Amino acid sequence: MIEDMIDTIRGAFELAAISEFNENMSFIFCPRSQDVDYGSINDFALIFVDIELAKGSKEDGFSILRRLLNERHYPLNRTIILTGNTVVNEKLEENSIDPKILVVKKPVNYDDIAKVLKERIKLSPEGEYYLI
Amino acid sequence: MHHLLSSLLYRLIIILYGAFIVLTHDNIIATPFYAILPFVYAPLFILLLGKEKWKYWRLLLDILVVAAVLYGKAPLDNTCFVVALFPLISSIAHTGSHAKYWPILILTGVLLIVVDQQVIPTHLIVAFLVWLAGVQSWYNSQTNKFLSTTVGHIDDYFTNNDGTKKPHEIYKNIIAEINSYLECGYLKNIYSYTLDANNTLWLVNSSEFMWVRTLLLDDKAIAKLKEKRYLLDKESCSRFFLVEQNDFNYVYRCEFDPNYMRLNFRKGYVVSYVLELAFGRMSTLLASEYRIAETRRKAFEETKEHIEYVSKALKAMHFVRNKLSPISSVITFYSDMDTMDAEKVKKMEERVKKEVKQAKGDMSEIIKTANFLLDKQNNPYSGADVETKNIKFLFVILSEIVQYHLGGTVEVSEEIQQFEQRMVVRVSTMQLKLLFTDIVSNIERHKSSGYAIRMDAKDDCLVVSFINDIGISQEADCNNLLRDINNSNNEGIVSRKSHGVYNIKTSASTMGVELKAEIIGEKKNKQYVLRTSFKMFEDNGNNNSNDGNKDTGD
Repeated sequence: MIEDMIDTIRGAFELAAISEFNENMSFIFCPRSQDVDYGSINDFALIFVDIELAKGSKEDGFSILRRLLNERHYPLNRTIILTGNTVVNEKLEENSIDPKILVVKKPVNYDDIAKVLKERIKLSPEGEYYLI
Repeated sequence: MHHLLSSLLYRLIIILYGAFIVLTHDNIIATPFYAILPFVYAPLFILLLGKEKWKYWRLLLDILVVAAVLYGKAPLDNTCFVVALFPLISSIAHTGSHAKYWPILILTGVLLIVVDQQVIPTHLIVAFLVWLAGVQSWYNSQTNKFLSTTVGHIDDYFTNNDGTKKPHEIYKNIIAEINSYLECGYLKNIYSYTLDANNTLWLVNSSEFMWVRTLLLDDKAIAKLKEKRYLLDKESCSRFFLVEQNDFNYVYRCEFDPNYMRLNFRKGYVVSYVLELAFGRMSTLLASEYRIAETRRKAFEETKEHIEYVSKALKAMHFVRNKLSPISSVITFYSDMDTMDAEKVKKMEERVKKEVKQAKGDMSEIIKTANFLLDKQNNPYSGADVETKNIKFLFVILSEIVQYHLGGTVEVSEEIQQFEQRMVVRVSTMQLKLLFTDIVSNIERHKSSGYAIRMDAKDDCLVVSFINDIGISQEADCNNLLRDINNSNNEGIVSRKSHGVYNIKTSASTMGVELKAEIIGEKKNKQYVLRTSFKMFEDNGNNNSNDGNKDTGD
């Protein structure tokens, strides 16, 4: 979760984990671009990126998305934009980000998050989660 | 035309003065024969009239007529001598053309020698001096012509006669004018500066683009410039002129070719004289441009404030959206609770409690943000700066809007025109303009046949009525409008096709102006009437209320 309003958004994810995934899910939050450890990105099933980040952040969400998708070739279907900015879709192309990327707009409740998670992650019969 | 008239008058004087000489002197032939002279002179003169190149022939004719009058009156007395000088004086009168030419002087000399039959040196010297005076006045007229065309380039800027759009383009025209007078390209560039308190010259504009915006002169040079208003800097081949205009000291620098310094004294003097006067005029222009720029800067500051406010408002809305997530989760949980199994509800509820706490905090932040936006002090659009203004001020504002949008006028009742006291209203200029513009542009868009805008006094109110004839098709629309205007709450007005009613009501309520709409008349002659009532007060003289003829603040 690359997101600066952690306290506001944490509840939706934790409640989604309880309601749909038996609490069997963990997340980490990075409020600033410099907190992102690009070496470990493949350890995560999904990456949520907010566009506007904390004041001390060196880069905005668009730059992080470019690094993830264009430089690190992180899969597009495992990357989700989570933002309160209502005009983000129009800005994708000018920021050279594939406009097919999923954009989720705030405010979000746990149900919205659960739906997005279920769409991208499945539970195998052995109780393992795997990516679609 | 003026030229022709003065030319005819001058010939009339020759004839009258000639007659005077003939009648007062002994003549060589019988006096009545001289009466033929005008009848020969006039047709020949008319024959030679019209063409510029025949002017020398006309002059020769004058001299021949004068010679005929003077012939045989030797020795010439003073009255006769004066008539001999007439052609020379005439050439002075027609300054700008032939005063300069030697032939007139020589012809006058020949005339004097022939009629006098003996050479009187004093007469010749006087003739020469008169000619010299003519030459001098010719130069003066040339200088004046040069001056008026040069200064004319500055005046052209105001009327945009020669397509000059920027003040610095004037310099190019002045330079061309000066160089054509000097008959070479001696004047290279003109720069104008303002002299500040620290004796730094700050560039205002210039004939060529400048990367360096300041110029420093040594203290001695500045002191000299301030004292003499003129400075010659041989090193840079520049002449400086200082002009005081209001609070500014404008300094003009003219950069000349090094060869200019070898120019003859008279031309150099004339150029300095013309430049000095041209720069005087230029300073008026620069000062007025400065005032305009100042107004623009102020308008920009205002716009900047407005843009900042809008972007703050947008940011606040994003903030509100972001902060709504926890509240949304809490609501979702309590709506879905019934469909969950008990164990899950228990687990969820524990977590939701935490979320309620978060939601509470977020909610108070949302309210704080909303309060910031609703606070009028933060809103540059609120225009709540209500001032006391003379009713004439309101009339002028309304008249300008009505003239602009409808090409019409505002009727004012006799009662208002005859108010003995100065009556004032409490209004905000911006809100007043918004209110009237919204209403009047509605009339502009929807008027069918006729309209009227009236100012009346009723009780202690100034009532401005906007009366618009209604076409049959507009009736339903008008009924809606009527309801919206007279309705005390604004709900539902914002989004609908509402003729800007929301704005009209907001402007009116900001100023405490009462709005009332009604439909009067029967069937085909129905009229929609909107009345705006402004509470009037007697001016107690303590406020600095604006008169109608004052600047309305655009």
